[in-house]
Amino acid sequence: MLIALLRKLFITFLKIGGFTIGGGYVMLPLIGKEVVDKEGWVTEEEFIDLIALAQAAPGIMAVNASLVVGYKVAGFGGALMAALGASLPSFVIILVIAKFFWYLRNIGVIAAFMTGASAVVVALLIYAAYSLATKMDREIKSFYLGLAAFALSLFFNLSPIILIILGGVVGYLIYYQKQREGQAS
Amino acid sequence: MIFWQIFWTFFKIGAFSFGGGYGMIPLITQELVEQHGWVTMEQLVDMVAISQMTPGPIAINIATFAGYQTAGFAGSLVATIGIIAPSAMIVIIGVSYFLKHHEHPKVQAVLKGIRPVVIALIAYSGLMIAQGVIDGWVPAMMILMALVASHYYKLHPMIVLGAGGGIGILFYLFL
Repeated sequence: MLIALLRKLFITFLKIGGFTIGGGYVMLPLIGKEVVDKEGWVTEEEFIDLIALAQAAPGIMAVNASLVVGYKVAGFGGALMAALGASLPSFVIILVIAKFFWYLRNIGVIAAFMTGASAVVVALLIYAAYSLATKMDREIKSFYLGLAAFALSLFFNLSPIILIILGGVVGYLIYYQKQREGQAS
Repeated sequence: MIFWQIFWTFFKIGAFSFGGGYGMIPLITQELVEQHGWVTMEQLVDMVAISQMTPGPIAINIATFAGYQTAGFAGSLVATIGIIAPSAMIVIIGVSYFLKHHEHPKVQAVLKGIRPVVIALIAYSGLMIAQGVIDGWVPAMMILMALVASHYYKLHPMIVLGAGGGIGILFYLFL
């Protein structure tokens, strides 16, 4: 019974991992479709909570989502099988590409293709920052925080890890402590 | 020990990246390109482009790619396990706790502070990569066109990348 469930989890997430191109935000709706609509493993409401957790935790959103859903459905083993299923297809595909890519990279057509694609990568990064920024609360504090992080990377080359920790500490101080003081007075 | 180094490096990347695949790129640049020199900036950009055109989570793709590049098959395995390990621990140990508390004001305040930093870091790494990529008016125009295609036409990154590659072939091979 449990084995069958674990196998089902593995295959479901294997499909999701193998057929979605574009990472986390593309995968989440598909995971919802499979585990809520098709399998009925979790309710719509539970799924929204699980996804909130997957997004709040650090790391890979799609893997986090498979971990929490797998755990909810079948405990520790379920989390393991779901995460394995979600990661395995990309692992295998990239392994094959990695094996041959650098030999092929110098061939004229592929070199020209990759040069063109590199320009698009720049645009994708800038656009990702832009669309994340538009989804945020429009607060002047957040704007200054982002500006400060940008300046610190530009002028002092501070490590992203340090900046993220600083951001968390500043967020705690200005949003949580303020709120508590506000409640106290 | 190279494998321990790979594991620890990707563990750190997994533990401190927020905001999906793109949120990892600043950390990956810092750790893999600047700190260890395991991959060059150019290779990293290649990896991001390929990851966007192949299925699965982008971060798994990049970890597999970079791990393989550094230490072969075992390297790719160690890197992938390393990048998943921190969130696996957080999510599994904390799943019942977090499900009740992820809307806790403390957690929310910390995440609210982290969000703008992540956005700034993504924009910053975009500019870093742009420095290496823009060597004339062709890539500059292509970046603009790709921004328009993403914003106004909502085209999937895979399609924009494919089109960019096609234009690349046209310009660099035939003109």
